[in-house]
Amino acid sequence: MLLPLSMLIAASTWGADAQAEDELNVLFLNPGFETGFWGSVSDTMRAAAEDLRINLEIMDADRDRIRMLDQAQTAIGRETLPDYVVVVNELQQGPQLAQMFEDAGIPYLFLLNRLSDEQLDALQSNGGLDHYLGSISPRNFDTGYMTARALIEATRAERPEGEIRVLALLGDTATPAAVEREAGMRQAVSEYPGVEIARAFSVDWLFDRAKSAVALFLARESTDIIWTASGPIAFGAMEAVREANLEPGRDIRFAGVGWFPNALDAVAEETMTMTYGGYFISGAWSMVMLRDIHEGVGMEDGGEVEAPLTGVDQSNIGDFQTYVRNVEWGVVDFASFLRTNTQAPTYDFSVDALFREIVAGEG
Amino acid sequence: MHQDHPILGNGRLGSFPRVSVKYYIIVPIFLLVGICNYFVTIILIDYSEESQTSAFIQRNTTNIRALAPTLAFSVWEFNQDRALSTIAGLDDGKSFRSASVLTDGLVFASNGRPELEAGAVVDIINATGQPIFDGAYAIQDGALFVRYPIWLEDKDRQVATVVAEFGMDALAAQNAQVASRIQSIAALGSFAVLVGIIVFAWLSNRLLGRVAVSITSVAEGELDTHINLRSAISELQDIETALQQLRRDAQQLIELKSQSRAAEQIQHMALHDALTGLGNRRYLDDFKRHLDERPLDAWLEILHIDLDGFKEVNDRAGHEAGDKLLQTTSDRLKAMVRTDDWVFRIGGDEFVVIRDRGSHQGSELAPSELASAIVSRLSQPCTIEDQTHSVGASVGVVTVPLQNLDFDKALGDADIAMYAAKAAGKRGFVHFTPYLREATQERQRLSASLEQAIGDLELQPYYQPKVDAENFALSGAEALVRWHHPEKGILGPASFLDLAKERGFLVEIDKLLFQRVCNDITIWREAGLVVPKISVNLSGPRLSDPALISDLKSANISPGSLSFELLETVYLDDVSEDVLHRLDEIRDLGVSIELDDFGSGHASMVSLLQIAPDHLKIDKRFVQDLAPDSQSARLVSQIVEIGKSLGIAATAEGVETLEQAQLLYELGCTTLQGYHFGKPCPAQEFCKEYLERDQNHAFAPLDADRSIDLGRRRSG
Repeated sequence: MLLPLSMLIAASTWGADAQAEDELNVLFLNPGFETGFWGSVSDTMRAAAEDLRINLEIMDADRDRIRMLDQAQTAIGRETLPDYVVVVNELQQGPQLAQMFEDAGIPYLFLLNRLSDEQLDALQSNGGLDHYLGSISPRNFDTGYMTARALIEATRAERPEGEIRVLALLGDTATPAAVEREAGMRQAVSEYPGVEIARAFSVDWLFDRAKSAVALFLARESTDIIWTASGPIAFGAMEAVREANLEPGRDIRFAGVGWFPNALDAVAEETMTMTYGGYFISGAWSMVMLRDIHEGVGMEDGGEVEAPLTGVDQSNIGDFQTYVRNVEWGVVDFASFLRTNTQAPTYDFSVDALFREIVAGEG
Repeated sequence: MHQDHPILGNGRLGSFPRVSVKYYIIVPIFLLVGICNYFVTIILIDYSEESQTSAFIQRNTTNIRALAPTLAFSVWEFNQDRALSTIAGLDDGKSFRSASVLTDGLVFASNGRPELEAGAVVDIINATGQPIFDGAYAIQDGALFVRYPIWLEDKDRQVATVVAEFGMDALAAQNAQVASRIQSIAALGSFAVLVGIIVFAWLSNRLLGRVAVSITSVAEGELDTHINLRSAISELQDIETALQQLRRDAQQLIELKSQSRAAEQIQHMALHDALTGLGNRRYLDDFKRHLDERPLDAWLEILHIDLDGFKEVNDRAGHEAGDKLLQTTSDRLKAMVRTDDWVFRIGGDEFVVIRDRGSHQGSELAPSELASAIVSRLSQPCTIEDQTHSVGASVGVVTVPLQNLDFDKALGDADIAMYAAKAAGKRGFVHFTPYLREATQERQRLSASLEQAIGDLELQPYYQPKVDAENFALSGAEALVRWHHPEKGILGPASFLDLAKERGFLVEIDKLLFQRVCNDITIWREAGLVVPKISVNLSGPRLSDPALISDLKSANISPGSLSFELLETVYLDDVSEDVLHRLDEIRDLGVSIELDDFGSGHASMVSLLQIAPDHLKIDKRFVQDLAPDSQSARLVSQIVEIGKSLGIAATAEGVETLEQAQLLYELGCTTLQGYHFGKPCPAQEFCKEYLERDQNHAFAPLDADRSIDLGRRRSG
């Protein structure tokens, strides 16, 4: 009974004259660059912010952890503090950033890479988590598992007998994303007999490293599958494979991560068996959540929201090519995802819902 | 120039050649240093090269090893860039040529410009490689090749091999540089050592010179100079201290020496005669110590020399002349013996010469010849202050073997022999024989018993009657000494007077006899007998005896009852004023004086005039040969005539026959004495036979009966 009331109040505030006062100041501390994956995250975030009357400021740390801390410090030291901060537990700086915002009394939300349970416990015992809002993050284990399974099954379908060798190119050996994806991959490999990891090593999320390593590897050994922790790694490896006069997708199978156009194209061209994505759209979802939070709509699941991911393969590549490949995120009315609007008990950030909004926006 | 120090001597020991310290130090040390330097340089360069090379290998291999973990991961992750950047760490810009990471026989990553194919390098190392750490290395054609395995630790497998090539040109250049530096340092060191040695030698020379000067100054006796070597060097200061000590010690030593020299002088004085410088009696007593050092087969000759007549010279010419005479005698003796013979003066005019015959056999005078020579040489007159003196010498000679020598006994033997020479008439020598010793011992026994005899009154006067030549009536008696020896019986003066004289008993004997004579006279007078004049012999010493006059006075003898007979020896030489004065005193007491044995010696007419005796007794030697118109008769007549002309009556002694008595009477003798008239007899007998009988015949005329009577009485 209380909830509808509060929603009402919020709606009245929202729709009424106090529009300027209703604007939210949100700061996103982007650990990465202005372009690339994190650029895509920022894009979806901006598109959503516009729809949700959020003044979004983005600070790019360019993967420099010192810079990231400096930027946080700058934000805290300002006269006008942001209402909310979106942070990423990248480069192992999550706890430190969280502590800073706790101290400054600014509510903060984790995006994509959340704090681990241990890190949360540590913060809790070290002065409390009074301003921690929660997180929205995908299940990276699933990403690793799903991509590996797709590759193994496709290979096995083609060659029922014999050993299947997997070259695993890890992103790194420390971040939760890399570690969880590797774990998923290993889970999948373990579920299929006759599949063996020829070698698993980090290529630092880098295209060139992947390319060079694979070239060296192929000079000495062979493999059926090259599992990669990210799309760029997969494309780097793919180039080396081509230079070794092998054909990606046929001699060696690849899977990708993310819905980037090149990945979608690769799937379409069948050089990639599958690409598993939905990451960058989380930037938009974080905006939606902050607006809801601000309006007083509580966070279910204790504040920890799972960002849904979806694999793109031959079965659905058509849709993705149609709706996602060249989409302008501005066409999507992200306000329609607000629970204050939907009145639903949970968010529906599914691909179908997204496609629907895209169609609605473009239509 | 260098005077030998009295104590330190000239200080040279042995005969080492003289070489300067410069040659002792510089040349050998520099040669040594040079040789050492040469070898040390070679060894150092060798060692340096070896260690440099070793360090070079170590360094480069260690670098590779340090990169191994990173390389392992790079290879495992096929991270070529990281592998490249890792092996780029091996490039030191100098020796590094190339490094390659090989996996599965393929080059995984390669850096630099390899001169050899990696496979060729592996072949070289396989062929000639030496192990180092886990890898191996080889050196060929001035290049170091290293092969090192890359292990993936957590995978426990070798994932790659690093093959690296390092040029050794820089190392060689560096080695050459080090070598030349070592050579430079060695050369510099040699030079420095040379300079050091020269300086050291120069300093040593200087300092040793100072030390030498200081020592020389001490050695030359400059003991008052403070020694200062002016050096801060502790060793030299030690030497300085030692020299100071030496100087002080030398000073003390000299003081001690001078003290001991004084002591020696005292000793010398104690052992030497101051007058002649000859050894004295004490020295002679000590002399036997010297004999211990002699060979045992040697013979020792001892000559005991006693001057004859020295006392007379001393008395007549004074002690100074006597001393001069002794010095002359000493000089003469020294001139006659060899330098290593010994001459002693052991008493007033006694000398001893000792010769060691063992060392001079054959070439020297025999002891008898030497003794004879000494006698004649010492008998030669010597002139002292324009006066010529003459003495003789009596020499006793003894020759004894050194083996089992009783030195004191030998000396005694020489002494005995000397006395024998004296006894034999002086101015001669006697070689000792055991008989002499026995005779001497006899004398000594006699001497001892004589002394005893004087004490025990064994000496007694015997009286021999004197008669008037005209009527043979008793006119007096001579008291003659007789010794009632407990063993030998009655001894006459001939057997002991010489001994008594020698032993100085004459005064005692004369005194004793005089008392007994006085005693007898008193007894006879008290018996109422008429006692004629009794004459008593008076020796020289007794004449000089101060007690003589007082003895005479206290004897209470009536004047005219006593006379003294003087032996010619008493008045032989110049009669001194003292003697004449004493004779006057005697005469004043009513005692007449007779000269005994007149004509037997050298008594001069002068002495006869000086003494002016009341009687003179003609020596019995004239009486023995007496015959009418004989030489003796004429001599006796002359003596009697001279006496008469001077108012001196003559007495003849030794009258044994009537003819002699008659002739002597005719020749003018007033008194006769001899066996014809009576032998000497003890006091009682004399009293009974002559005094008592004569009471009635006093002044009986000279007739035949009387003379026969007297003659008969003698034979009966």
